[in-house]
Formats: sequence, C-alpha cells, structure tokens
Amino acid sequence: MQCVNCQFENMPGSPACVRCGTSLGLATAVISIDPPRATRLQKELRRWIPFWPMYYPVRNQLASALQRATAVVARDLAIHLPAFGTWFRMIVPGWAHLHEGHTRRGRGFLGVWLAALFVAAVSYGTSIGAVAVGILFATHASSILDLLLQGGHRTLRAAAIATALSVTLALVIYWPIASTLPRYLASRQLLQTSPPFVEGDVILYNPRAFVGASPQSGDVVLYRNSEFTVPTADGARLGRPMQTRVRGEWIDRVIAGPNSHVRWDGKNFWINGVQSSVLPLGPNALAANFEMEVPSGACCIFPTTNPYLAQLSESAWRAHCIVPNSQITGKVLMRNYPFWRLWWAQ
Amino acid sequence: MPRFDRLEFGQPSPDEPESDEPKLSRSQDERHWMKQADTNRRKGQYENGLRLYSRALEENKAMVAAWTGQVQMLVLLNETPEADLWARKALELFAGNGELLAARAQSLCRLGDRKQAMPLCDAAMAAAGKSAYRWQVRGEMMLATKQSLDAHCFDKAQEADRDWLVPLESALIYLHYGFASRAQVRARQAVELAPDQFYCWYVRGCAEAELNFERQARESFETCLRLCPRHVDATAQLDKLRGNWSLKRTLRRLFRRD
Repeated sequence: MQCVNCQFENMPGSPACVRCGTSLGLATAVISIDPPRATRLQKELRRWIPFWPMYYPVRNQLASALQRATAVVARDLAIHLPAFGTWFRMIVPGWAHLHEGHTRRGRGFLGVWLAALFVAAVSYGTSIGAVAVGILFATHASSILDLLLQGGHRTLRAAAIATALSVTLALVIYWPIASTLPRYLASRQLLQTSPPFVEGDVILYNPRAFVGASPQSGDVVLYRNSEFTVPTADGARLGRPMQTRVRGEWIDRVIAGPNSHVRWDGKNFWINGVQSSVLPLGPNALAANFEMEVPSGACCIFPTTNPYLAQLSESAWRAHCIVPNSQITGKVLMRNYPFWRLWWAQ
Repeated sequence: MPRFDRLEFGQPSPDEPESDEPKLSRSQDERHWMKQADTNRRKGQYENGLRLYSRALEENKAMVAAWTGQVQMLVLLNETPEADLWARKALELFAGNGELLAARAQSLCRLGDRKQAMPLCDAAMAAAGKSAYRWQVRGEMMLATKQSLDAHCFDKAQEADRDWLVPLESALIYLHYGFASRAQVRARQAVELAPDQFYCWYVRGCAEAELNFERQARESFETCLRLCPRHVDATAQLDKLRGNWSLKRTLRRLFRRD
C-alpha cells in the first residue's frame, strides 16, 4: 500500500503510513472537503460577545486554581487526585471510572445509579422514592470515594474524607436539586378514594403553573374547596345528629375560565354558546341540566370527585362549582404511583 | 526469445479511440486550482481562496497544502473555531504534518488557548521540513504571549521565503493583535517587494490609518485604487478617512499600544 503523501510502500493492512503518519485509507475514503462555516449571526455574535478569547484563559485559570487548591487537600489527606478531565465527570457516577479506564466498576456504579434513578422517578413522592434517592446519593458518594481512596487508608482518615465528601456532594448537587425541584414538580398522596382516584395514589403537579397565568379550560387542577358541613353518615348511631366539616384539596378539570356562560344539557357543555368537548373527571355525578355564569377571578370546576358534595342541595352544590383562582394549588401533570396505573392529565 | 517478440511497449493500442481534446492531467488540474487559490489569496479574496482550495481537494485529497490553505483562509476570515475544527480533522488524516500543526496552533492561539497552542507550535517547528508559515505562526505565538522575539521569527519567515506574501501576512498578524506600527513596517516591506500589487498598498493603508497617519494612508489607498479601481474596501477606507474628526480615533491615538 503506497502512501499518497510520501509514496512510501507500507505493509498491506496498515491504517497509517509508518513514515509520515498519513491515513492510508485516504485515497479510497469518502471525506468531506468542504470546511464548516460560521453563519452571519455567529460572526456578529462573536464580534459583540468575545466568548472564545475569554473561554480558554478562564478555563485554564480555573483548572490550575482547582488543581492548586485540591493539591493541598490531597497532600494533607494523602488521597489520590484524579486529573482535571475526571473531575467534572464525577457528576455522573461511573462516568469518571469509564474515563479513567475502570470499565467494570464504572458500569457497575452507573448501572446501580441509573436503576435507582428509575425507581426514584417512577415512585417520586412515596417512601420508596425517598429510599431510591438515598441509594442514588450513596452510590454517587461511593463512586467518588472509590476514585479518591485508591490505596491503603487508615479507617479514621477514610471516614473523615467520606464525611467531608458526602457533605460537599449533598451541598453542591443534591440539596440544590431537592430544594428546586418541588417548586416545579410537587407530589400529593391521596388519603381518600374518590373515583377515578384510589387511596394511596400519588399525583404530580406543578405549583407554579398558574403564576402569572390563569387556568385554562381543560386543565386538570388541584384545588381547595370552600369549607362546608354535611351530616355524618353514622351520626344517628350515636343517638344525636352529627355534622362532618369538609375541607381539603380535590382534583378535577377546569370547565370554563372567568366571565363565561356555562350550560350543561345532560350530554355536552356549551361555553358562551359554543359546544365544548371538555368534561369533568366524573361526568356521571353531574345533574341533568343547568346553566351558570362564571365571575371574573374564578373558574368553573364541577367537583365531581368530591363525594361529600353529592349530599348538598343543588344550589349549594352549584355554589361550590365556582372556584376562586386563589384556591387553585397547581396544575396536575400525572398520576405516577402506582406505576401500573400511570395516568397523564390531559 | 521469440515468445516476447510480439509484445508492445509504450505504443497505444489500435483498438483505443483517439481523442482530439487535449487531456488535462490530474496533477495539472489540481495545480491549476491551487494556483487560482493562491492568486485570490494574494488579492485578499479569502472566500474565493477557500473555495478554490476545496476545488483542489476535490481533485486530490492528499494535497496537504490545500488542507493547510483552507485552515489559513478560515483563520484570515476570522472563523477561528471552524479553523480549529478543520485543522483537527486534517491532522487526523495527516498526523504530525508540520504545516497543519502550525495551522492548528495559529487557530488555537487566536481562540485564546495559548497553553495548548504552544506545544503544537513547538511540534510544528520540530517536524520535518521548513517553511515561512511555521515561522510566522511562531512569531504570532510570541506576539500573543507578549514575548519580544516576534520580529526575529517574522524575519526568519522572510528568510525562508522571499515572497512578498510573507511580510504582507506578517503585517496582517500584527494588525490582528493591534500592533499597527509593526504592521506598517512589514506592509512597507511587502510594498517594496511588489509595488504593483494593490493588496499590499491596501494593507499598508490600513496600518497607517490605524496609526492615524491620515495623509500616508490616503496615499496608500489611492495607489491601491489606481491599481485596482473597483476595490470596495479601499474606497470605503478612503471615505472613512475623508470623514470628520472622530473622538474614537483621537482616543485611540492617545492610548494606542505602540
């Protein structure tokens, strides 16, 4: 095989020329010869935001500062200090191992971590999910410790390193996630069966979905009902009438937004005279037909999942259909637990 | 040896049809595109130069000079991240090639990664062969790292190749880093070597305009326009020079580096 660059005759099957290093597949390979080009927008952006001249000096400065700082700690604690390229890969357990060539251990850590992540995701908001998050954290900390504590260490020193590392990991990665995530993805475990939900179901909702926006027709929301009382079911057994005070959070679909005219003809909803395909979660609980006006600052939610309201008179029931926006807790996204009854709120 | 009597060497087969068109050989063809690219480069038309280097590569992918030329054009077009990417790709094909190592060092240097650019530049200098371009990149490295050996490196580049393009591109490097007076010196050398080349006059004019030598700059741009009457950039520069007093120019004159 003759090199196209220096004409040296190489052994057949050699990938590159032994004299000049040129790829020997060059003559037959399909290679793009058109270089990549910057778009006009990219050029303008580079002109106004000089990212590249800053990127490398800042990156190199940070790398050397980190190296200096960690070298002191490493020397004092006698820990094995990995290269800079390994540091940022520690964000995913096993990735740094794979980078350093410890393939088996890397796959092990990554596999355990991904499995725990899966369990944590499908059982988010339950005690199983909490355990899975614990395993996530433990796997992560173990993978980093495995990289740092190579070689013999005395138990006390290793324990000190492990504690410091766990605290750092918790503060840098897990605590920020744990404090931010529930603001956008909160969970509720249902305490009472109210079709289509069953006691013990976990739903996920976004508490910030309606910050700066009002609920739209068709949204499934978590809302607080206005407090009311109903006769206690087994009150007569005790020989005197008893009342149950009902308050709490319920899930149902928004039928109409503010300033709407809603009419139910027994089959369909008509909102401002237009037929709507939106139905509450329990449409069988609706009366034969009725009409109502939705005032501003509120929306129309038929509380079909609240079994206590069925005991009220029709006028009282209709009063509970108007829910002020301030009583809406968030937008329900899905029922994630139990995962065999997974349900997307659409 | 009667059995070899009927063998024919070096004569065309009577079965092959003879073509009247003169055949352009493969090597002539790629050389043609390379020459065209070089001509455009000497005129400062780097977009065309880049396209023609690609055309040469279409003919022969093993032309290291064309790969290097592409990277150089990208650098001169201020598309440095793309130049770096392309130099890396070329180095995968021609590992250890001195010109390509120098080209990658130049693109990295312009991106600001001098830590990585310096060993590449050293490797380029240590690689087989010598060229003006490697010395130019060395000079650029010296300039970027604020070492005083840049002039020596650019002189070595001129020693390696007496072509007027070498001092001209050295002037462009100086202009890129804002050293207008040193750029003017190199541009003047290029003009002395090739007074009939309008691009030398244009670059010299740019250096003089940077230094606020308005009269000299105007003369340079006018000479450039005399040699190439439709030179858009020289016309624009002249119009700018004919404009009114500028606070920016005055401040730059007060606080310029050299």
